[in-house]
Amino acid sequence: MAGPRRGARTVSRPAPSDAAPRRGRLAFVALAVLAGFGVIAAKLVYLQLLDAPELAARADRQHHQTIRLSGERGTITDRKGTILAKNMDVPSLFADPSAIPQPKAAARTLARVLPESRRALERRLAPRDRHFAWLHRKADPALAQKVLALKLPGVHQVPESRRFYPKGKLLGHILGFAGMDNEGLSGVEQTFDDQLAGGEVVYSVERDALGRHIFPSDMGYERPAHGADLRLTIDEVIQYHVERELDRAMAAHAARSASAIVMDPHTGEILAMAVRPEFDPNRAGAFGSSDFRNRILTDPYEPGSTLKVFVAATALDEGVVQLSETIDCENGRMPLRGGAMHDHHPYGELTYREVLIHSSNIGSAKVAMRLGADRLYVGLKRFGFGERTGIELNGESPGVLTPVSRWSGRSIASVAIGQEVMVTPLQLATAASAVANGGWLMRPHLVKEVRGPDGTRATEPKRVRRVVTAATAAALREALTGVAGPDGTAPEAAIPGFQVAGKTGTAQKAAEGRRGYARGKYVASFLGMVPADDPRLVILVVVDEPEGHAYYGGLVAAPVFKAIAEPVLAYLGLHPETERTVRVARVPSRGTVFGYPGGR
Amino acid sequence: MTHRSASPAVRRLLLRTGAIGAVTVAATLVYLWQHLAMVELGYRVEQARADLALLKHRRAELMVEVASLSSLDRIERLARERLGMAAPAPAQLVRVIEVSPEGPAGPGGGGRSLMLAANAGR
Repeated sequence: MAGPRRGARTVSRPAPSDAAPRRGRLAFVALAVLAGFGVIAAKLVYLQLLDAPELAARADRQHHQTIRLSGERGTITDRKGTILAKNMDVPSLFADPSAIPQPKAAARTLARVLPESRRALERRLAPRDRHFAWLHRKADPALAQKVLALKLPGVHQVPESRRFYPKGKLLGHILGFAGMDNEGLSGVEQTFDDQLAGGEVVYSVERDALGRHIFPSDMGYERPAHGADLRLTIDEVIQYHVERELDRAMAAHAARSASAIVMDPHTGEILAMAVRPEFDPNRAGAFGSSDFRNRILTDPYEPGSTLKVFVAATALDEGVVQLSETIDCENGRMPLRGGAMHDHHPYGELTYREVLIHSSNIGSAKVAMRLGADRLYVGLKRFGFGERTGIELNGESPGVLTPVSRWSGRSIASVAIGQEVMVTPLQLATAASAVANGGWLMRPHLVKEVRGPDGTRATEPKRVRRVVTAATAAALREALTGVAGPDGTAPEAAIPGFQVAGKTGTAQKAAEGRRGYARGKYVASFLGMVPADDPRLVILVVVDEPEGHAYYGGLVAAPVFKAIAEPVLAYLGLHPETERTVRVARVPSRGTVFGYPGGR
Repeated sequence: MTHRSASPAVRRLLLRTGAIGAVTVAATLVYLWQHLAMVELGYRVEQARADLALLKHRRAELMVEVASLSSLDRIERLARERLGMAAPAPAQLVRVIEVSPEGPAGPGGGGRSLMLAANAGR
């Protein structure tokens, strides 16, 4: 019994010779475990203390995303709310060059679909160390679909806001256009860029493992401010009539350019303004910078006989002449310093009214001489010539009205017939508005109201100054109705049922690069007010370098005036009382009774 | 082995511990449920925002499309070319003015007016 007990004791208690190695192994295991823990602890220290900032940043990048949101650019509408310019999201295509295994092959494939050259695409895809390159920004959605259908690795799309002009070329020169990054580059888009541009908000969102947004971390979720909306004074319908007639005039006379402006003389609101050649703001890149110029306010020209209206207004207001007064028009030739002045027809004695109706240069010059240089200059200055009108658009020219101190002995006569003075069509229409509204020079404006996040700001009509008395303006308008009469220079401006007051202009153009005037180059214009007794519209039509023998304002521009004014008057609800008018009255007991045709 | 019943003090301790444990578990569950509900709501809010953005985008598209389709040159072209219409000559236009049966019309024509294009000689 003692043996096994001893043996059992041997198992449970190792002999002193085995104990040392066992203790050694135990110590080794313990040390190994300790070392393991030590490594873990060291790693923990490394991760939690030394590498913590980098890891925290990486985790933050994975779980959070910073999003930059831009507020939508404001919408531009006409006076009745028709959309003229609006932003929409469209796809922009980009590539991650580092993820494209064969850039050359990818460029070749993309060039078949995109309107970009293979070489240009290759250049963009070549740098393997880059992660981003635009392929085609603000693409047509169908085009983007085509590109994405190629399933090329590393080719993606992102939505970007693009400006659309749904009316195409209509109003191109007024609206201007916005660039690739939605910044206004010309026209109203440029002038009102600060108001139209939306605000920008940067915020952080939390993302889950699938990259979905969980919720904005700050819970604030402030939306970026929407850009202000602009409501213009322009009426799309009137603008359409103006542009259509300018197109017809350009085609009929093979003119170099043409422009027209329609104003409400009582408020200074511009109802339409158009320039030819036109440009389409949707494809601004296809046009040159000179095509964007709104010549109505940027390009002054010698107005010729249309300026006689303002010489007459000043002379009548100063009392130096009466409309019924007779003036000797020298049978068409009047000697002047440095040459002679001619009329296009030899006239003898004409009343001043007839001087205006027949557009006699000699008669106008004689009246201007009675005024004298100083009063003539001050009178024209009061009508706003030689200074900017203050319209909201950039690039307006003040024109040229030389100070009297620099006038020559011939200047009074020249200025009286619209030479030696340069005006913009906008200045001319604005000055005519003063004659039309009873003598007040109004500030022309294009923007009726700005609707921003902080409220609506309407543009109030602004009187600049009184330039002539109401009586002078009325008398002058009455006299100018003869211009569109059978004996006037513009019978083609006559509109049945309405009195038209107007003035033609046929100005020879200054020669380029030398003194004097170019042979055979004219600017034909017609400045009209209708209805003459209380004008609702002032319309100026200017046709630059019409070809052929019909270059007179009365033959070229006056018909355009009529073609614009006639439908616009009807559109504004102004109908002539003619025999084609029928009055009806509803009598409940007898049904509708037809009244009498004709006038009243 | 004999069954020894716990003393009342121990029972109370066990009961209290159990109750505290249950309340803690319940509170944790409520907290988790709340958190999950918030995450779920967050997803739904984001989805709603995405839907709203999509609808706004579609609305903008339609507005631009309407503005484009209602361009007057397009309408005039369609009227002329597809419908064979033409602008009426001034002689074809008849102005109809509705006047009050009680009194004479004013110089401006009185009440509402309407332009009708008469079929002249066709």
